[in-house]
Amino acid sequence: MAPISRNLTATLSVMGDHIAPILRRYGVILSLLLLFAVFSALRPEVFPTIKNLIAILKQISLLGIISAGLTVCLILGDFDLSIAAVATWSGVLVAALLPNINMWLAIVAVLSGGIGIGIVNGVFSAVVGISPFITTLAVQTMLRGLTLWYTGGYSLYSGIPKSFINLARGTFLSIPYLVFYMLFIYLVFYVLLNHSSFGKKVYAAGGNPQAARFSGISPVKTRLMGFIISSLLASLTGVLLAARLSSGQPRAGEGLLLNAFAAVFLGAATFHAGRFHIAGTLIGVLFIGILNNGLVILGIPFYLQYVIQGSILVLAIAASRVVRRP
Amino acid sequence: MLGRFGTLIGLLLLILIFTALKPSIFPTPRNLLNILNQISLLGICAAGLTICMVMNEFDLSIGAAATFGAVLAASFLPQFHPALAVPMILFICAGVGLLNGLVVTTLGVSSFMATLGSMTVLTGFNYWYTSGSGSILYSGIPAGFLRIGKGTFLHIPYLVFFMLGVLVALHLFLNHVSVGRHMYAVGGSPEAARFGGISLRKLKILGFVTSGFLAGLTGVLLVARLGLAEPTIGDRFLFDSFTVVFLGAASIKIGQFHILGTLIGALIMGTIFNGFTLLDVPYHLQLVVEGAILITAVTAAGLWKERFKLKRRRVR
Repeated sequence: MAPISRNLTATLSVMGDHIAPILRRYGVILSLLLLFAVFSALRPEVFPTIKNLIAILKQISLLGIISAGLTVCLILGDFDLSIAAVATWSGVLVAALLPNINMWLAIVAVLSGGIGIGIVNGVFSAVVGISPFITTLAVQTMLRGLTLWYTGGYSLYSGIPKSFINLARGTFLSIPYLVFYMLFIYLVFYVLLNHSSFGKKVYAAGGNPQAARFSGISPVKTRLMGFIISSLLASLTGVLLAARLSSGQPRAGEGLLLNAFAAVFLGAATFHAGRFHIAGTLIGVLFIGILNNGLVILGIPFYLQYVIQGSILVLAIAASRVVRRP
Repeated sequence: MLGRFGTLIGLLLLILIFTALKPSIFPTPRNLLNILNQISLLGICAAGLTICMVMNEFDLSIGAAATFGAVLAASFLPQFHPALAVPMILFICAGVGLLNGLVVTTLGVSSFMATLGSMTVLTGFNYWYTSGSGSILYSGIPAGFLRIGKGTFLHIPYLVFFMLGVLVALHLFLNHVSVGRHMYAVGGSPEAARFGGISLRKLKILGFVTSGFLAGLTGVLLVARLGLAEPTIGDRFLFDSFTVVFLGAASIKIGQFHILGTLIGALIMGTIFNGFTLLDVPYHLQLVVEGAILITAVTAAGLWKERFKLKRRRVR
């Protein structure tokens, strides 16, 4: 090989050595910024406005809340497939209770139910030892049956008090309450997962359960907590969803499952490539929200949206995994 | 000894219960063949999924792929002869599987996300192809093709033969062909497999191609049976296939995904559906029971396994 081309190859590979890690760590964020730039260029008078950005945050707020709970489970290595069904069921249950009892009582009751479901998931997955994939699959099947039985396929919309609806529709300084809820939860979880002993337990149990046990951490108890958190947040999402829709709908949670997993996995491809973490999940949620919002603003028909969303999802993750094979 | 056959015993129990409740209808050959007929397509789809799961890869796109196959079938068949259209469609579906495999092995994306993405893309395509408004494609499907979906040979529906053919072929492949056995090696210990000279890449790609191919076949046969295609027609195959495959992993060869187990799982689901329909039990109760049986079966299997192992949590 002539000296020039050999140097070129060497130079390129050295450059690649430096670029690849950057792509890996920030691939998703770069993709997100790219999306933002593209959409802003295509619709400069609509997309990059404060009003639209707040709208994006509002659109993703519920997805964000449910994804935060899922993140904890995934850090522990557990797939919680039941979150959408829990959300739907919670929405239906709260809509059924609201006409009859005090609003806060209803909400607490439903959230307790969510905790109960989390306990069921956790007991079968962590204590008995069944693969969480199956447990949550089975639980979500049963919840679907329960929801279908209770609603008969119809929405529950009578007797919903305005104060409840306002929980989801109200704004403060033109920022919807929902956005505050989401940001608050992410703040709490960030502190919880990164600066508390519980968070250390979660990462320890998720990273190496054996070692965790030797350090006095109980992976079983931690995983149980993980499932409880996931179901609790899913339940909360369902309640807020019912508030936003002003009704309990038997198919309310449908898009949430896959989008939540997408968000958390996207997050795992960000910053600390390969590790689930709450900041990454927020990025993932933002990514999905921006993508969605932009495509809608561009007037792209929904089926084409699916095609684009699916492709970009995979590309974003692939971009963050660009590795130079030795 | 009992634990291994827990699900089989459960299946027998179900059969006994339903026989007791509807003695004049349930245990008849006609009804039993009906059960086989009802699960035939699920069996084919779940068999494809089994191959992927053996290697610890999730294929979430099978539902959308089945719909894809159905949509393509409903639109190609009016124009082309089935002998030309069907292989074309299966080839395309296998190609989608190949894409899945490449994204997972070459781009390094986890199978969960990769197939989530392809599922989304396929769904979008399905809706677009059916005029974007979710309309139903049903005209122009040749009668001969429909006979495949509804015809019988010696009273056994053709579809059942399809299912049995696929199951036998895959069973032999996984257990008696070296490539298939290598797949179990990949699933059991990827490191060891690699040291043993097995190409994980090629096998995983083959796995995804198979599951894509069979999901597409499921869709094509759906059109043969129903005479129409619409954009959510294959959706239930996703969760149902996973349920069936996991039920299978709780049967006989506990902890391992295998074709025979998948068949047992499909039989269980089919029996429940059939029995409940005969008893006029509403669908939502069936869902609850399905979930309960899944949990019970796997718990029993797991507890049985614990008897021979020290209490040791699964290390990732």
